[in-house]
Amino acid sequence: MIRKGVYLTQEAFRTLLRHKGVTAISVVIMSLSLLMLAVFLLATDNLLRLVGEAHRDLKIYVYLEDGVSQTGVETLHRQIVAMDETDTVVFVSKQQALADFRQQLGEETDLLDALEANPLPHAFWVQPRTEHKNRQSIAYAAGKMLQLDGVSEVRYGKEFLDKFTAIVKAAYYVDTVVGLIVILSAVFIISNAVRLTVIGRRRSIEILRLVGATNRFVTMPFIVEGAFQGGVAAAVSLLLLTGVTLLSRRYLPDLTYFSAEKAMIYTFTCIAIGSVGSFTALRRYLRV
Amino acid sequence: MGGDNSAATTDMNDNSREDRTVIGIYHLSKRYGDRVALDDVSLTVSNGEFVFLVGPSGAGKSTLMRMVYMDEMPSEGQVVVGEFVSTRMKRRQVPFLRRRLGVIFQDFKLLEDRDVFENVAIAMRVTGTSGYDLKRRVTQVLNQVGLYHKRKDLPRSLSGGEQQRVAIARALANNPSIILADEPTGNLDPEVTEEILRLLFRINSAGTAVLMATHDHAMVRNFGQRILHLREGKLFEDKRTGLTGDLSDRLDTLQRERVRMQRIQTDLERSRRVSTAATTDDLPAAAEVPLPGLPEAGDGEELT
Repeated sequence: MIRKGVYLTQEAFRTLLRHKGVTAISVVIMSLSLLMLAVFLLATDNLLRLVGEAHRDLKIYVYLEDGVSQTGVETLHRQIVAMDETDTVVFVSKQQALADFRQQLGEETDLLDALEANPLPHAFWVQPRTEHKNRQSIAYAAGKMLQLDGVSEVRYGKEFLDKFTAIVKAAYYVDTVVGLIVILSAVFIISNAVRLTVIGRRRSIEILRLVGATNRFVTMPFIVEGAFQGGVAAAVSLLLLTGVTLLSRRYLPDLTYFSAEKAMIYTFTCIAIGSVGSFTALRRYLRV
Repeated sequence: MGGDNSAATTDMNDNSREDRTVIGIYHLSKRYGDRVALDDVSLTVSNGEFVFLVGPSGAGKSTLMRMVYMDEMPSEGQVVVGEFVSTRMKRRQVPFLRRRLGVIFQDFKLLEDRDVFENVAIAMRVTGTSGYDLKRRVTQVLNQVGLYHKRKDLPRSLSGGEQQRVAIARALANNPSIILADEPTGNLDPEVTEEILRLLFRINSAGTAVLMATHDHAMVRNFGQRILHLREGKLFEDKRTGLTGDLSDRLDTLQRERVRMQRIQTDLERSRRVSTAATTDDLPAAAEVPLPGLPEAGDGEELT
């Protein structure tokens, strides 16, 4: 049994070598269609990361009325922290705000020297909980905060958030559609490439069956070959993708590459696609 | 059946063992849609028999063969090969049936990308045989068909006759109790046909039954021990000719006759060439030397 397995595996690699041309062509075809898939996956990966980052930056700014006392500030702090939607609440005093502002202005600080009093209010920077980082929850929380005594204004970048939500929604939509097309065409192209190699060896399959080969004996080499081709094609496409990524960084400096974990998952998926593709292409030639 | 064959090869020739049925076909019908390919055919082939299956093309010879190695299943009736019964077996078992049969075709069906040795070995590899056993048996059957010296050649570098001998070696590899030959000489010229027939006779005389489909009437007339005549899907005639003994002897007689005829023909040709060469002075020197047995110039051109 083991010896048979070894023979069939050897057979697979012998066949790959024997049909170098066909093997090379199908690996190239697979690599290119997988590259298409990989580019798409990387784009999605980056999109998700950007959305995640943008969400992480979402904050609610609560500005206080002038002349709120120290105890008033503490009461407000407690009230805001107690809300379901809030995670961390940071108090930024008007003095600190001015200092920050001064730092941001840099050389132009003399502008501030003209001021007689500090025009900036006390503020809370509120970080919403992750599950509440969406438009409705934030707007709802902001409304509640505005009701509190001593709060003069609440800002959370309403326009930005509205636009952002719409863009993310559209991006997800486009991404899903493109993803379906890309995945379907990759599977289609790969299964056709595999089918070509199977058709090329239809006669061998027929002969093997005539001399009494079981289906497993016939399919095993094909599955091993498919897996091998899938693996190689995955590696080649990842290599090409690295090139594409490096080139794109000129224009998109923030573009990230797959993590090692994701690259592994991708490779194993390609191996699976290769072997399953081989198997399904073969099935029609295995009538018995 | 396969296991006891090593012993059987020596004493299968005597009649006492001939009553063992290796193929039983009972009321077999095969229809493709409306077309009837075989219609209620019944016959049996016993151990060690040499049976010719004749009939015009389309009579159902190949269909019948395919039913025996169960590439197709009967519409009605039953095929029994050894312990395999078509109506009582699963498709999964078909490979195991095929390991008990040797099948030979008109187009040889060799693996083009493997050498001669591997082409024979594959029949044993599918059964899980490997190593020394495999090598010994392949060597044995290749010697039997006289092609051991070409074991490393690829099929395309062999002549048609040699390719068919490789196919025969492959068919013999698993010690089958019967060899099915579907027009095995259809693609071969008469001389090579004879060579293949001689080989099949020898195999048969060692105890293996042979069922051979052909439309070559001369062959059947000269060698037929038992002739099954198919016509329009029906078994028209099952004739035992009474022709017995070693068929190779008959082949020898026929061949001596043929060689004599050929020699006469060659002599005639040579004398003709000598006379033409003598009259045409402007021919190149090489062409003037009469070479007996060489194809005529016209034939050579057609070939290239």
